[in-house]
Amino acid sequence: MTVDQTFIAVIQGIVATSFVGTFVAYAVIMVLRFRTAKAQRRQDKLDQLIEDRILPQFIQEMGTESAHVSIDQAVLDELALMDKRNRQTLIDTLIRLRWHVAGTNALILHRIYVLLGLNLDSLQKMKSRTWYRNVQGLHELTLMDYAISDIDILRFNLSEESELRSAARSAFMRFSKNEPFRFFDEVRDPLSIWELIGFFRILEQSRDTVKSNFANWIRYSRNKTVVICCMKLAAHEQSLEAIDSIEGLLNVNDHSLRSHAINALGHLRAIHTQETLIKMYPNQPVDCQCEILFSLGMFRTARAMEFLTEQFQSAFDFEIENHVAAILARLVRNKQLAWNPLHLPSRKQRILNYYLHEQ
Amino acid sequence: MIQDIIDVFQLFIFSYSSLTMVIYVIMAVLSYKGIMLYRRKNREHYTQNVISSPLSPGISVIAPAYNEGLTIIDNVYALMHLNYPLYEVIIVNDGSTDDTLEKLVEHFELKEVDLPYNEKIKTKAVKRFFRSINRAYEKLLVIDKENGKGKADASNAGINASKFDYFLCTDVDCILHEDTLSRLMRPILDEKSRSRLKDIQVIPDTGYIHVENNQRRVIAVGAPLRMINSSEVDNGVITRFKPPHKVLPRFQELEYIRAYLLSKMAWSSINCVPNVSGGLGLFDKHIAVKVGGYDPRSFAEDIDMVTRMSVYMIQNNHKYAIRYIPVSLCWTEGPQTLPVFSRQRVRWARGLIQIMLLHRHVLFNFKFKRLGLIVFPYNFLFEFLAPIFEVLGLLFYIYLIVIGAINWENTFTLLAFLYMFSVLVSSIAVLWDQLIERHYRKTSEVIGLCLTAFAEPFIYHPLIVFFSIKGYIQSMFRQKLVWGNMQRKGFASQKSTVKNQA
Repeated sequence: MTVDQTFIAVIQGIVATSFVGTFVAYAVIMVLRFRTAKAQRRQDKLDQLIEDRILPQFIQEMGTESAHVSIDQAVLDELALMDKRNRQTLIDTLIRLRWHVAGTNALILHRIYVLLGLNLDSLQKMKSRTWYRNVQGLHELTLMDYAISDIDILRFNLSEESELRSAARSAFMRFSKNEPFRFFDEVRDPLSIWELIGFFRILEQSRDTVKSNFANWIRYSRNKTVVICCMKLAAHEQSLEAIDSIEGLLNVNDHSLRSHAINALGHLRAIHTQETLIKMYPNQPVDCQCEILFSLGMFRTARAMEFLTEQFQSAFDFEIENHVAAILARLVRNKQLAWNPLHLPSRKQRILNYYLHEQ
Repeated sequence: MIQDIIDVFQLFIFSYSSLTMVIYVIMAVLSYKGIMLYRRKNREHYTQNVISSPLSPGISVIAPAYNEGLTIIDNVYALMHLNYPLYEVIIVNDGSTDDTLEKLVEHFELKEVDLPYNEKIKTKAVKRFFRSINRAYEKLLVIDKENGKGKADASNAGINASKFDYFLCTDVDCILHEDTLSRLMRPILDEKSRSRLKDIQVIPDTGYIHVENNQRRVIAVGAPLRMINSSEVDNGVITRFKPPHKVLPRFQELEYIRAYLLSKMAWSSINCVPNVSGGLGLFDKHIAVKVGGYDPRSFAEDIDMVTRMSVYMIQNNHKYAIRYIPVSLCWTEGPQTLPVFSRQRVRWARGLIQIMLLHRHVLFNFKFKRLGLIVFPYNFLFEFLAPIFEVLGLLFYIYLIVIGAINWENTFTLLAFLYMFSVLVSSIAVLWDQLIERHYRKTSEVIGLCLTAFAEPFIYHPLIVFFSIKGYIQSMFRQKLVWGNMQRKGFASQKSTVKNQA
């Protein structure tokens, strides 16, 4: 065989492979669509079952104090015969419902989840060797409030997969009875805002969580994202004991950290820091200045109001001018500030008027 | 001597084609990995948090409108029903000569307001701002400005008037999925750093230094665009997805699936995205303003701005990422007639040549890392030069036929190789699309789309090459570009047409 012949043979091989590959792709598309259609039929059937035989129980018990729920043995028998996919569909449906309810109603859904043995499926996923199954299991158990022991969660904190570490942190926060934020000591990777949003959601869903003292992490953590996260959580939880630690961050060189600290002080209404904030205001970059104005707007003291009106009158920077106008307009609208801006230049009056009438 | 030249040229063309195919294979593997990772990370209930969170950053949705009277009301409705806690919709009326503004004012009960406006990016004169007196439309801001001869100027006016830190740029004729904002925002909020922080002993008594955050800043996020041409739309919502019936939009549908799901998803997985489409892109406003926003003189303003944003990040030593997600979130009307299609493709070709010239200092420049060593070389070798090589190859084969030096058996084998491979690539792209979401109700519609790939190399591809070369020639002779207006059919009429046919 000459070089040319070999070359042509290789090309012909690629043509044949492409031909076969194309038809394999079509076959896979057909299979995928067949499976989707089957899954849809399964979903319809399950929806019917839930609507006819599970939801009536749920609706009947909704709003009652007892959170007692019972399901017909016939339904349980039917579900016991279902395969994994059906049970997964059921878990997803319960989670969808869980997003829209709280309190006793959430407890009823939790009971249904346990009564149908779906928690076992989720626990099974936690034992899987693939990280995304572990994540799925952790999410399901967290969202359905099925408590898992700290030990079972903590082993995932050392995973190589950031998604799994993140899911483990959320689960730990939800279920740890003593110190739900203890994982902050161990966190060695940056926390994302996405994760923080998840933490907020968990806090909202579990008001009985033990109050944490974020002061130590704010003061001692070497992980900047943990510090920012703790400041936001402290502000959200109105954790007043964190104020001293946050105040300590007003002198750091990092602008973004400083602006987060100023914002948190505003949310915590740390009025005693008012003079410090006013004093540091002229030397700050615009984002920190905006946060100082925001915090003073939250303090609503006579001194803060005076400073805000002064800044509005003297500001030249577009961003500052509009930011302070929006704060003042909100205060005037809420009748927390009686201020007649008629003596202001017409341009300033126009800006203020815009924010006063903005819906 | 001539035989040597012929041999070298033959070898060159074959090597170039083979390299292109190897790249496609790599892309298919990378995009598959990216799609599967996305699927695993984005199960329905994982993404619900952002929709109800007070921490979700605000987004300004900017949609320039020029003579869009036919579809404007439906489209604005669609934009105002997005599933996201904090956003505004900015419609920029770019000096329309039809009743676009009047329709908006009448339908949404708009009243002129004195909006504080800072011209951070220079634009044509902005005349008026409108807000609705009806609280139901409080998210809506309408800007009336002088025509800026293109989308870029209008988008810049929208950026200037926007109040949030992120802006989504779209076309007003596009219909967005209701979860567009939450889905596009996730990569920005959830960009994971590659390395974990080192385990350091904490010594409180001796003080400490906060470890610098090593995360990359996501400066832009995009998602696939699809053709809406034959789909049914009701009140700004797509009620039935259908692949386009007309020839040109149908080929474009296939081309878009391939470009977004194979190419851009692959580039995204190695952080080498060259472009975030003007039809749908979420941008970091701070960086976009720093680089001067969209350039109204550019014929490819989207790729130009993304390139300048990337250059800015690299020159300032900031870690950055541009991401793509594989879920189709935006549907747009594709050109249905050859003249409109020709204008679009000629403009894209001229845009590409403009980008290559304007940012030539980036090409093969080590200082620009991936941008200079992967993104730009790829664009130059496989996007810009591809039509030129194809034409040269074709002329070469004609020459061989004329001189009678052609080996027909080998030629047919090589053509079959190129043909079957291109069909395979398109089929894989459709398969990847089916892995993510199954928009089309009938399997026959999907298979029909796959079969379009068999006709593409004969009908659509030659057109693309022809218009690209036309664009390059026009650029060389500095001919004036005709922007023209895309003649919209309108979604309301689409539905009634379909029903009447039925």
